[in-house]
Amino acid sequence: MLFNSIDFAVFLPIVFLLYWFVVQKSLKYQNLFLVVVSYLFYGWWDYRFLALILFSSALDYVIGLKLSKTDSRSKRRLLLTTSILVNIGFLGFFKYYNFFVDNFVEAFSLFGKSLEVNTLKIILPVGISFYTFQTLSYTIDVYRKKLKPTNDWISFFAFVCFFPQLVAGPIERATNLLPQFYKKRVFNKDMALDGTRLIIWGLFKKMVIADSCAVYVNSIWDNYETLDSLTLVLGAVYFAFQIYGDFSGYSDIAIGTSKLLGFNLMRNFNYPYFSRDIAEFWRRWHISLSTWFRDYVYIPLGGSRGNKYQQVRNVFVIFLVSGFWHGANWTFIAWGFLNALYFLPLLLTNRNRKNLSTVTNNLSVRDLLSMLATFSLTVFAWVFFRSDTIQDAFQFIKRVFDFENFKLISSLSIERYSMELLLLVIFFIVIEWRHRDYEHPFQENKYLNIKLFTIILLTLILGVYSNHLEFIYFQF
Amino acid sequence: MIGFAKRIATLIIVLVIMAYALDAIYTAIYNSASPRTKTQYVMQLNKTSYDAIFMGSSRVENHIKTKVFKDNDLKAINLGMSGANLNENLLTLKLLIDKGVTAQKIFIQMDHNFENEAISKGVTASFLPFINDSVVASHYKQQLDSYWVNKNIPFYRYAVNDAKIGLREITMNIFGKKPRVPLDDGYIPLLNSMKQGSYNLPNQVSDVNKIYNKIEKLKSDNNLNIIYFTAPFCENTKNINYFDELKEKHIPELHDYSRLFNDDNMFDGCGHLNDKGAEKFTNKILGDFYGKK
Repeated sequence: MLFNSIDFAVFLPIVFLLYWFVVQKSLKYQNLFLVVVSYLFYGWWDYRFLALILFSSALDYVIGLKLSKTDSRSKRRLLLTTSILVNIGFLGFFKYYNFFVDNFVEAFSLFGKSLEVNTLKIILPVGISFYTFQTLSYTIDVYRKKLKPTNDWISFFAFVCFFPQLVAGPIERATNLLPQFYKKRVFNKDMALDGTRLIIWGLFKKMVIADSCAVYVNSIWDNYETLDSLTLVLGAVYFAFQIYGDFSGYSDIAIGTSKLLGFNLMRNFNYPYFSRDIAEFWRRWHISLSTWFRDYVYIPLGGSRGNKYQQVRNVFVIFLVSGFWHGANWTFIAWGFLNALYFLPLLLTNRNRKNLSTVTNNLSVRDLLSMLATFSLTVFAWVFFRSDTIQDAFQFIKRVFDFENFKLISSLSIERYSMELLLLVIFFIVIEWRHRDYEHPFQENKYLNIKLFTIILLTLILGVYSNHLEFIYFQF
Repeated sequence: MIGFAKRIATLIIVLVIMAYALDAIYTAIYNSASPRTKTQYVMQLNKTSYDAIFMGSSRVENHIKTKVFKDNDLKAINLGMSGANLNENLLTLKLLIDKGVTAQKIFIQMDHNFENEAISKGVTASFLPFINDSVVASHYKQQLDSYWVNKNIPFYRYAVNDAKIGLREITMNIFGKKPRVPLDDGYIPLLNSMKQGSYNLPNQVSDVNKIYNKIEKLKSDNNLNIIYFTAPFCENTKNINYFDELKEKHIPELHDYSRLFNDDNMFDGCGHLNDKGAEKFTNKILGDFYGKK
């Protein structure tokens, strides 16, 4: 069930009430209840994939226990390898089988050979990219002895399937989330209120910003061959806000829902479009995934240590894998590749850790230009992310830079929004800018009720309800 | 927990108040603003008399050039709505009767819409602001799955149909932005000439259409002069003899103009005439039913 659906609006209050009024006295029942409702939540999408998540959970639970019972390096390696191979194997099969088959066939056709290999009609289990990485973080941390394995299977299963973050993150670390299942949660009013406000903000980002932009973005991408440069640029910018509003909105709802149940999840977005360079952008965008890759891929490869060749190699590996994680399409790999190209100069000149704090109010012209430049680079890369094929992406970009195609007034007119959307996006940027020292605008107590009621009102009148759009990251 | 519950209750109360207030504001605006849609126009009609009223889908909206009637001193209105099914024609007819609107002749487009008894989601959205009207309410009560929520949950219908009747449309109503075409005329011309169009009609006629039966009942109960007609299709239309079967099976009095034109220059697309074709077709109607040339 989608977070912005009537189903979830009914599901959550029921879960909340049962959790805090029926099962709250016992830790075991609290966790068991979360397991049951999480599987119910997941099964709502497609009950057939419950078996898969159950199997992954059981496998890694057992492997965790076995890791604790042996000090033999080879046995421990074997156990970890088993966990990685099985989990990545499932992910690879469901997500990438057809991609590899199609490209294999195409590669052979370049040599004049045609192969008769059938692709399969595979449905991608919702959330597999997320919970797979989450369970892997457990087995890897247990292997590294950073975490003691648990023999409480209920806690472990609850950690894997915890419904607020099950289908689209944040990808939690076992070291952060699992210990929270060992202690009975006690209702905390401030935490619950903060969670509620975060849910409201997340819904605004998704239903007003993301879904409004989506209407324009879809129309622009479907007709890009006939549109002028300015419209295409606008389309790319709107997509930047669509994907940001969509994904960060989802994360906010996930984190907010978790707070309602007494859990603290990691922050997933930290105003990425106010970044002054690409390195800062990647410290602020999809933080749970980028830190996962940093800790479990980049650093084991050597990170930024080693010679220049190794540094370059590591950067490309991390961004290409990150791109590929998003989907079985060359466009995602191209997106990752571009980001690697952006990042590399900063790393090689040791400027990748230059902007560690949030940009201040005393905004210099240099900072402003840096932010605009960084934003432009990310928007350029988003064109590949959004396009169906590499060719489409290149055609799109070619039309943008075709100056014969430039018109001052956008030729695109859609019933719902034209100039209004631009104003809405600017309004959103101003709100975020104003509150960039907080996790969300409602954490600042000044004019809290006015802000809350205004956002609720705007969500009512500007929200896209008619075209029930799924969250973009569900497809990953 | 009590403190939290109080805050949540406050938020819910504020949300409910906002929903009620917005619903009242939107509904009042749709009821009183200068009409921007044919639905609004019909809802604001009151005891008017016409020589001819045309109802149907875009195959009326783009086909009946009302100016031709006006040029012949006849009062006509084109109430064709793009996407409308027979179901919406029935509702429009009920509203016209309720509002005391009379016509010498009421032309209802009848083609393969005979195969469809369902409501049209897009056109239904335009009627939802008026769901508290007794005629509209009784029409949708048995037909609209979400009737109860649309009627009783404040603002729900405006939120769910935001693209059609949401903030943008309300804003245009407030600022009196003129509709695409004058609504007392209702004709929207298509300006292209077709190149190699085709159309597929169903290969058989349904045994029954309950909506048609209801229109017939209204016709007899209110002594209406309803004329069923089929607007032209292009020559490259498969199963064009569908209308012969429709005439034979259900509507012997059907005026079948489906084969009126074999010149593609009259068409914008195989199922739609362009402005030139619409003018010729309207003149044909005028000649056949009003003796005018």
